[in-house]
Amino acid sequence: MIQRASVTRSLFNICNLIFLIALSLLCILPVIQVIAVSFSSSSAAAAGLVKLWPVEFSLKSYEFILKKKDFLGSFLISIQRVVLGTGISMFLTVTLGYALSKEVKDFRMRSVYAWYFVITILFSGGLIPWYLTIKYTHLMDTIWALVIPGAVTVFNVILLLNFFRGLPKELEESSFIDGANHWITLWRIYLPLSMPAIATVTLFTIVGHWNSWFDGLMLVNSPSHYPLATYLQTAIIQQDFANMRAEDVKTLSEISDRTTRAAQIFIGALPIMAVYPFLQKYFMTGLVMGSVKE
Amino acid sequence: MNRRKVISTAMACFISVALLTTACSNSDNQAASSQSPAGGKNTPTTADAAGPLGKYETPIDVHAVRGINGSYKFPQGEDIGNNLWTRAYKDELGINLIYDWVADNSGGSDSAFSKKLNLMIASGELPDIVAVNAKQFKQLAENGQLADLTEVFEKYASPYTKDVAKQDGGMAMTSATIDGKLLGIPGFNGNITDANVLWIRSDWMKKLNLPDPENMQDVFNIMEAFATKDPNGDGGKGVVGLAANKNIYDGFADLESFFNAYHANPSGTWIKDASGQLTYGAIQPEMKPALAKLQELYKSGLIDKEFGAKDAAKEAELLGQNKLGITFGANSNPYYPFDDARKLNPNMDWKAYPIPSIDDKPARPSVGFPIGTYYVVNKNYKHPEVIVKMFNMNFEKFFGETGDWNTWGVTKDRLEAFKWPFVYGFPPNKDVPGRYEALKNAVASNDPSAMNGEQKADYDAYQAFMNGDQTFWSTVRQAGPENSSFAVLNHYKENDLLYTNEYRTSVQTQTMTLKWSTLLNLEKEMITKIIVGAPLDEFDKFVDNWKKSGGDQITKEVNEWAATQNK
Amino acid sequence: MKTGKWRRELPLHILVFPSIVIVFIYSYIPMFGNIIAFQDFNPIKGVFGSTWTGLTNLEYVLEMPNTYRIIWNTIYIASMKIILGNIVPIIIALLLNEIRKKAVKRSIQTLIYFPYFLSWVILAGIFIDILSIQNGIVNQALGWFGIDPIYFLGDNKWFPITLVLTDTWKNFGFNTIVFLAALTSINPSLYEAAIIDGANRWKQTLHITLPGILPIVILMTTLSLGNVLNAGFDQVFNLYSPQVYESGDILDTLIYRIGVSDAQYGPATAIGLLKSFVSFLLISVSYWLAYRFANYRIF
Repeated sequence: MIQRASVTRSLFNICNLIFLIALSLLCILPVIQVIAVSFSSSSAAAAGLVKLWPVEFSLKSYEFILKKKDFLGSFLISIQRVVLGTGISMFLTVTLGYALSKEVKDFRMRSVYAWYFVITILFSGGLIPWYLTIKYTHLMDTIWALVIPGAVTVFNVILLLNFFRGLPKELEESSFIDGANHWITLWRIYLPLSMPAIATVTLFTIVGHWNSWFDGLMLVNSPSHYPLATYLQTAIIQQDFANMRAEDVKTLSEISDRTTRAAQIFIGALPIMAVYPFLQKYFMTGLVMGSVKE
Repeated sequence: MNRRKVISTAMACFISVALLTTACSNSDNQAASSQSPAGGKNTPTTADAAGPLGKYETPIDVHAVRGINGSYKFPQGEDIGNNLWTRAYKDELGINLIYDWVADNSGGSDSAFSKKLNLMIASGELPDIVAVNAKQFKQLAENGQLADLTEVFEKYASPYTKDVAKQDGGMAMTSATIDGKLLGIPGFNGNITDANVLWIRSDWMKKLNLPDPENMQDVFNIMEAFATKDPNGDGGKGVVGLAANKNIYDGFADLESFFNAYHANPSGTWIKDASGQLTYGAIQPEMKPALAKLQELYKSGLIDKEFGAKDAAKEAELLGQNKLGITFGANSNPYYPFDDARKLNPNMDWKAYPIPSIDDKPARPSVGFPIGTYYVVNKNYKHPEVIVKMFNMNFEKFFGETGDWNTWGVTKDRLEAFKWPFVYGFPPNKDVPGRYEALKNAVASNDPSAMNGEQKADYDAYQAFMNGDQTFWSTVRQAGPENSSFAVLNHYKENDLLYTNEYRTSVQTQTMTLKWSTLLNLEKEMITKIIVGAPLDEFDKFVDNWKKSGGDQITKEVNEWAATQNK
Repeated sequence: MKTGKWRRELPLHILVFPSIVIVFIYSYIPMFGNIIAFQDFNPIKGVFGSTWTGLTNLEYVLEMPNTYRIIWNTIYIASMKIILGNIVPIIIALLLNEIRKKAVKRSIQTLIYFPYFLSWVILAGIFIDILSIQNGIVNQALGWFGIDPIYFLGDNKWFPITLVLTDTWKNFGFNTIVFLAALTSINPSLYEAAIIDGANRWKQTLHITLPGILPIVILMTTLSLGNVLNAGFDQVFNLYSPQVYESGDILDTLIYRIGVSDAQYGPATAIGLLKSFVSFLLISVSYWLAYRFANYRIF
């Protein structure tokens, strides 16, 4: 009886393992294929010969895009955006999360404030009014337009405040008895204990800034000031050729459009791939603790 | 993939433009200067800022935004904000043109440029000068954001610019005039090249010894002969009499012209009825006999049995298979699709005819309203005249006595410099009669000396063709002195046969934006259904349906628009 | 006494203040800006000077020939995404839970969570390439099995399916982790008791595991109710083309096109407001349900 059960059991285990491994491969194969295309020669890519490994290895596409001023420019703008945006956003998220994590008896306005922020999840302004507001506050065409309007992400605040609330009350109380104020308590007590949650929120913020393209499309006028995601959206999805030079067209015909696109996709995804392994060990715990509470 | 197709089409266009700038994008010096009483008399050195091409002593700044796309090519180190033309604005006119931003304008109203401009308009901002589409023009005019250019145009427009504005009978300028004020300069353009012609395979005509058609009855006879007398010599059947395609109206395998032959005007054309009211062409009783005839042709196998599933490009495959000898289509058909088919069948030849009539009243090909772009000035800008000066310079550099197309229109490296200036407009007459007359006269007198470089290319192509070089066949069948599509267009022009849509604006009325595409589909469905055999009552049903589904409301709105035009 | 308390709370008010200001300007003002939905908005005259037109804009939008089809597309695509986006992660989480080797489990988790972090711009670029009809690898692979190429992004029959599948592909890792956390929090003593009672693995799953994660399943499903009108602008906008408007056009892309491409600010805002309003009701109901049945509170 037990013997038979363990045979089916191990059969199941093997199938299960194979299935899950196949599934996880399915999640990265498309990316690998595009990487393979980006490193292949244009003729091999155009003929559809590339599977999961480069065919006729070539760096032509990378040479082409790395020479493009707009591409490098937008890469730098994206980095600037991530640094500024994450800095501002994290500061606001931490301070707000801390204040709202207090009990009503310690912070009487807490519920009012909390609802004030939650309403923005429930109900949002339209596209046009949003655009006009940013226009009227003179942020248009500046990096601040990409950083300030979305600086308070209520989802992240909730995640963090739930985490803060899970911390033992005694720590805070003893800190106050030692004469510390809110500011010091936040920095000395709360933050060191909340690293998984902070890492999670930071990761989300970085990824969010790196990935967002729509605000760039709407709020930045000159394509040469686009962040990378917006640049890629116009270059890959909309096929927007701005200001082409005769020699660009010539090079472009030498290196197929497909490999250039693939190379741009890869470079666009590269920073995410780079930070992902470092932060993922934090965020799994952080996310779970913040969102599923008991 | 769709995207890929766009790219390859863009590439194809780019290549053909590079090859054909001589043939297509050019203008004739001779016609221009002979028609412009004083074009080019103004030399910048002597004039002051008050003249049409006068220079501001202290250079003025003008801020603009600009749409460009992949077909804009520049020499090394230059771009849209720094090129031959921007330097000319600065050096000769004292205008310092600054582009606040530049965006992609491919895709019309869906382009990045148009969207960005819409957003700017939404926030109540406008650069000093800008090119807008008809809808934005209307919107800005209603918002009161535009400078009145009436006096400025009167005072600053060069005689040649004024002449260009009159070439179409003032139609373009009228469309830019709202409540008696000229609020923008239209991007001048002709609509004569929109008119379709009848193309017949002349080698087959010769082989079967058929006379040129005088009227539609002759055309029917030729169809019959082509279909039954084995003109392609393969002994078999399968020659289609008349080309048709599933979109009914198109630049090839078009049927709008067939209706025109019956004095009917479908396909978005608004006509004036007896009382002077505007009414829609496709709901008029003239449609019925044409529909009945098409049905008969289909039944007897003279129209492709599968046309309902083929677009024009697909139908064009019949050409290469030697199975098609008659089509209504655009004047550019020799370039596409005939040229491709000729590669397979070198003996193939085509001749263009005016659209024949079913009776003794001449047929009038209907054409659309040609103006889609308006150049406007912010009402707060101090120098509204810059836009007029730019137009003056445009026409002067291209076609005036001091200008030269081969410097300012297309550079030595075959870059299309005519795309670089801020304003983009051409005299409505530039191809016909312009290029056509120039070539005809030069051939007759054997003297190309009066031609500009571009027309000279037409002339050289013609000479080469006459000496047996088949590569110039397309040029000659389009622009040649006889048997060409330009000859037919010129015939239309001289006999005043073009019928321009009476709704002379590119702005859709309120209900049009909602219902127009649906109504047009109703129309095409009805036509297809009847051709393949539905009873003619379908037409009456369609008329009822059309009126009920918003057509009546649109007619009302179109007439309201007409009323504002007569003021 | 009162002032003492006020003084004690003052630092907290100060901490909240910058966020209050930013949210007021960039969330609340646009919310009030929605009133241009009831105007013939003229940018020169502004929000306060434009003519009031009542419900004309809304009537106009509802009269457009495609509006109802687009509402249907939106609800259909969003619902399919919600259903698949919950079922798949539950199954994967259950399967993943069976894996005993920590390192293997962790690696699989890491891989399936990865696509969640790529933007739709990047992913659209990838999918346009691999789903291409000419030499996309997916159609090549189908070809090995003798299946004719499928025009995933250009065929109205396939486009919504492609949207739902690619969305599930991108996001299932995220929910899997949430469900997995719920699974690990089930009290191990329950399993021990079951084994003593002679229950096999299947019985254990049926009677302990599933009931154990039921609350979180209900919670996640209820909360996603608020998304019934969110079919995914980022995804659709980057993948669609005019030929699949018929099956793929959704409310958000419609708003973008009439607002930005057609410059009809009033109608665009009107339909946006309608969408916000319905979403507001749905989210409120879903939160209330979540509170009522799963004892969930946002904070």
